[in-house]
Formats: sequence, structure tokens, C-alpha cells
Amino acid sequence: MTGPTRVNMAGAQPAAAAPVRVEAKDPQEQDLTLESLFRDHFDDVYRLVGRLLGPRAEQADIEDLTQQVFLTAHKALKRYRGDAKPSTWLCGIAARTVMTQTRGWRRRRRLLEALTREPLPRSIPGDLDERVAQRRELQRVWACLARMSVKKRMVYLLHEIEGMSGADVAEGLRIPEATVWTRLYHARRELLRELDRQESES
Amino acid sequence: MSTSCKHIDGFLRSARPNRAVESDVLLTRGHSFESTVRCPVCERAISALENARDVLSEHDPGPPPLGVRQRVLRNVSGAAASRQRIGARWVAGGLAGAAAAVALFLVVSQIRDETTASDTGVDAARLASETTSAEQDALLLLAERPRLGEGIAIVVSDTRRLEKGAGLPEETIDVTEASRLDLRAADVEADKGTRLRVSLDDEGFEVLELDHGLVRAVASSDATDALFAVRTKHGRAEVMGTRFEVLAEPETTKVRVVSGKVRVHPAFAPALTLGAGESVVLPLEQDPQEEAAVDPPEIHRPAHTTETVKPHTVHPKSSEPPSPDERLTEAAALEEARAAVDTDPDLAARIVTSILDEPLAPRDEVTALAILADAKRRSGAPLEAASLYQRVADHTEGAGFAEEALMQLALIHIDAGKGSKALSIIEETHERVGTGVLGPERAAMAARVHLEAARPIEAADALDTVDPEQSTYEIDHLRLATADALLGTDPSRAASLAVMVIDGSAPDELKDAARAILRKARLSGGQR
Repeated sequence: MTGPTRVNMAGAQPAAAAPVRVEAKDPQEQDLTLESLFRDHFDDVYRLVGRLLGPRAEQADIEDLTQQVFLTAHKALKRYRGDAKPSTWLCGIAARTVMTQTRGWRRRRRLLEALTREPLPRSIPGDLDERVAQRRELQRVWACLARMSVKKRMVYLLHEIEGMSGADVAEGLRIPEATVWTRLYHARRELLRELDRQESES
Repeated sequence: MSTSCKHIDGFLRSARPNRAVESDVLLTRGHSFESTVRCPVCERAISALENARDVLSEHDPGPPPLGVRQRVLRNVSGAAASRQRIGARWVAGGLAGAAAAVALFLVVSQIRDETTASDTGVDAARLASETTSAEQDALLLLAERPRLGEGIAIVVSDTRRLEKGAGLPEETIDVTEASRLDLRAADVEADKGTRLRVSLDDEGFEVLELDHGLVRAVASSDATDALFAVRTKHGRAEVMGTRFEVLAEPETTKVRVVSGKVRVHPAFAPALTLGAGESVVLPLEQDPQEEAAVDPPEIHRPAHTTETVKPHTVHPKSSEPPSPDERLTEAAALEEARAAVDTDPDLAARIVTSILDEPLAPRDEVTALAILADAKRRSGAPLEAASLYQRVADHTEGAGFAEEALMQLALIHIDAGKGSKALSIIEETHERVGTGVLGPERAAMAARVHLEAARPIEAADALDTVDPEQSTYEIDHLRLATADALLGTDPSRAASLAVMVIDGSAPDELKDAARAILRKARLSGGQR
């Protein structure tokens, strides 16, 4: 059994027999509780935190930060006015939580160390070879990404990978939208430079 | 590849860069661009960025493994309850602002359920009444920043008191439950029964003095951070940016390095450095006069160097309980398997399988089975996963995992088209755990199975088990789907379901749909 079959109310498909047409939820009208946030968004937040932390993130760290996201959300629930969809709101909290946790030099160094240690097996028979190659490629790109500041990295990931609009990223990170575009520009430029450097070194 | 082409800027600045945008940019800026000739610099840069984006987009950490959801909910709920209790007492004093100064947390209790959470709150409040204002600030963090895992953090000191020479209270702590310590220089997990103290030495090391028991530490030796060491009567292990374990027993101390390096100073032997996968057993304390005659301790080096995890020693299977040494190795291997289950489920399965060949403590065994089940599920072996989830649910120590394990088992059956089997598992789960944490999800799952089998009455019965206050968007949606399916046969029941949605906290679009169904039901003879 794989991921999509996991219980995830947010991602659950309507029953085949369901004829009722339902539009997207109107965030203005939602009555959010910790339980409903948890039930509807836990898996999504967990995956997002894992993606923001990168491929070498440890299970315990993902779990730890996911918990912090929900703790923060719980505290902020009273201030939630429904300006953004709950998923966007949680995305912002998750991004800020991950930023806080990875901003320090020590943590950044750990991240870089994690990306370079424990080399993967050189040859694995069968279709595992392809998976290992994919993982190596992911690790290579992430190593480049990890060298930029966490602010730029976060904007890059939220916009480019998570597909959030500039306005949503701005709201989530509580920064002006113009700043989003500036950071995105520099993030792309730095990523390009790192990829370039890596290629020339190899 | 070079990034020197000035025209690449336009591409880098666009909201959604793609080749069309790039062409426009190049044309607009008068680049030497012809329809069949692209700037090679831009071309390569764009390809590199697109490739990077594709690679990153494919990274999926997967769903949370077994038990995570319940554990996090339990901790978050417990912390929220604690914050309310503590907050009422101390927030009025304006103490929350100093939270950032806190560095040392000591884990003293375990949140297992509501009762324990209450106890934690009482302990925190009691401690708050006995501490200084700085510590009161820190105590607020009990609610602000609980740690995951087996425990909740309670602050006993702050950074000011951790400064060199400031005098840290070197209080001995008996760890009564598996706990986590959040120190300035390291994150430490301590096993139940461990006795320890934390102090700051003259060289700036944050030292965990281990009388007995097992601790696992993840630390960094950055110059900007505090240094960290674990000391026992047999010697001292200094961290050099690593993860390691120390097991202190009456006659020996074992140090095992999971990753990075550790500098070990045996009490009466030359210092030595251990690398990843290496371990050393320090001898009994000896007469200093014999120091010259003592050989350096034997370093146990790993047999493998290419695996990310060093397989622990394989012993012939026996019914004997594991020794402390074995427990230490097994705990590390389980941790590594858990970390690998998302990224390399096959590796995780291999590690756990090797552990399961040996006798394990019941708690470790159920953890290993749960990890293996997750790994099998992710590597596309649902039958094996199903069997393992059943073993987890039936395990004597599996109470904490049972609900989610049975849910996974039911989902596997649904995937396999065995809805009736899934329903019997859902029923069994309800008998075992009552509503549990995942009650609404189970009801929704059962309702979907019934609806797909054209049994709307049974679907309605399943949905009726959900407390109205626990209704979710999905539950309300299913209520409407069920009501719609019942219009022709039981309009009264359909009306009843629609009314539940209207009277609940569903968003407007669902309530509108419910009103439409209610009108139809009344036309068909259903009563409100």
C-alpha cells in the first residue's frame, strides 16, 4: 500500500456514488479548530515540512517540526480571520517554522553535512539503480539549494516546487510581494551558479 | 554553463519561467536571437533550472509513518492543556517575552493520555511556584515548545545560568520514563532508568555526567556553539559533530558512534577518536599507578563501510532477552531504519528484518514490526504489510499503534477490492479502541465502502456514529452523498442527514446543497 491510500481527509476523493456538486470551501466561513486542522491537513503539513527540510531530513525532525507547526497554529487560531485558505495559512506557518529551525549556521552546517555523508551504494542491481540515480540527483540539487540562505530557499521552494503564487508566499512568510520576487530572482541566480560550479567541478 | 549572459536576467525574474518567456525576453531585449538559433548560454541555464525544478518536485517524503499522527496530536493537545493551566497563573506577570533565552530543558514526564497530561500540568505549576522568575519564564515554554518523542520538556535553567562559572545546579536526575533533554549543545534521549547530571566545565563543555543508563546524543561541535561531552566513571566522550550513544553500566561503559566523530578519553588510557560505526568498551576504573601498563581500549570497527547503517552483530536466535549491549545496538538500528523508511524502504526493511531475527524487548519488537510494515507498504508489498499490521495490532505492546495499524490494514483491503473485510476490521477497531483518535476517518471509510456497494442505509448508519462536533468537511460531504442516494428509498432518512449538515458547522456550499436535498426529500414525503 502506498501513500495515496492513507487516510487523508483533505485529499480524499468523493465517493463514486456522490452526485452532490461541491465547490471549494470558502475560508471566510470556516470554523477552524485544532482537531479539524489536524484531521484535514496533517498529512499535507507533514509532507510539506519534509520537502522543505530536504531529502536527508530525519524522520524525527520532520515529526518535531510538524508538531511545532500545529502548536503554532493552535495558538494563532484566535487570530485567524479567514483571509487565506487554511492550507495556505498552514503553509506559511510551516515555512516560518522550518526557516527558524534551519536559519542558524550550526543547523545549516548540519544540513550540508547530512547531504555529503553516508554515500549511497555505488551499484545496486535491478531497477534500484534508477532509484539510486534519482536520489543522487536529488541530493546533488539539494546540496546546491542548501548553500543559499534559508530565506531565499524558502521562497524558491514555496513558489517553484509547491506552486504557491507570489501573493500567497508573501502572505505566508509575512513579507511584501516585491520581496518575494527579489528573493526568487536571487535564489534562481544562486542556484544556477551552484549548479554551474558543481558541473565544472565534476 | 555560465551565467554571464545578461539576458538571462529576464528569465530569472519571471514568475513562471519557461521557454516561451525566455524567447519573449530575448526578443524584447534585442538579443541576437533567431527563431532557430538560441543563445547557448541561456539555453543551458534554462535547462539546468528546469531540471533542478523537476528533480525537486519529485521529492516526496511520503505520508507520516505509523503512530506519528497519534503521537503528535497527543503532544499538541497535552501542550495546549498545559499552556492553559500555566498561562492562567503566570502570563499575567508578563513573563512570556523572555522565552528565547531558555536553553536547557530537562525532560521529566511522559504524555501518554489526558490523565498524564494533567499530571504534567500539575508538575509544571508546582515547579513554577518553587522557581525564580527566570525559571518561571522558562516554565512557560513547557507549553510553548514541548519536544516530541516520549516526553515533554521542563526548564530548570536558562542561558544566563549556563554561562561559564555561573554555577549550574548540578542536580541529579533519575529518568523515570524514556525522555528527551534539550541541551544547549546537544539533543539527548535518555532511556528509562537513567541517572544523570548536566554541568558546564572550565573548558566550555556542556557535560552530561552519566551515572548509569543509556543516552543517545546528536550534537555539533561548531565553534559558535557550546561543546558537548558525556562523562562516566570510566571515561569521557567528547563530541566532534556527530550522533552517538553511551551506555553506562556498573563495570563498563560502551560508546558507539552512529555518525561523525567522538573523542574518547578513557579514565586511565590514552585518548582515542572513534569514527562512524565504531564503538569502544571502556574498562573498569583502575589504579592510576597502573596507567602506563594499560593498553588502549580495543576499538570495534564496523565490517561494512558502504551501507548508510551498520548492521548490528547477528547472533544465533535464542530465547534469551537481549543484553544491554544488544539493546543499545538494536535501538540505534531501529532509529536508522525509521529514518530510512521514507527514502529507502528496502533498506529499512533489511535492517528491521535482521533485528527481528533476534530476541527483542516487546516494545522494540512492536516498533520494529511497525517500521517493517510501513516499509513493505511503501515498497509495494501490501500482503506482507497487511500481515505485519495485523501483528502490530495484536502485539502485547501494540496498544499505542493498534488503531492506526488496523486502519492501514482496512485500507489495504479496500485497495484490494475487499470492502467487506475492511468493514469487519473497522468494526473490530471500534470494539478495541472506541472512537479513538481516528473515529471520524473510520466512519468516513466505512461510509465510502457502503456507498460504493450501493448500501446507503448502512452508510448512513456509519455516519451516525460521528459526534456532530467532530464532523468534518468530508463527513458532511458523505452525509449529502448518502442523503442523495436515499432520496428514492428513504426520504425521511435523507432529510435527517441533510438537516445534520444544515445544523452543523459546514461551509455554505454544503449547506446549500443540503437544503436542496431537504426540499427534494420533503417533496418525496420526508419530514423534517
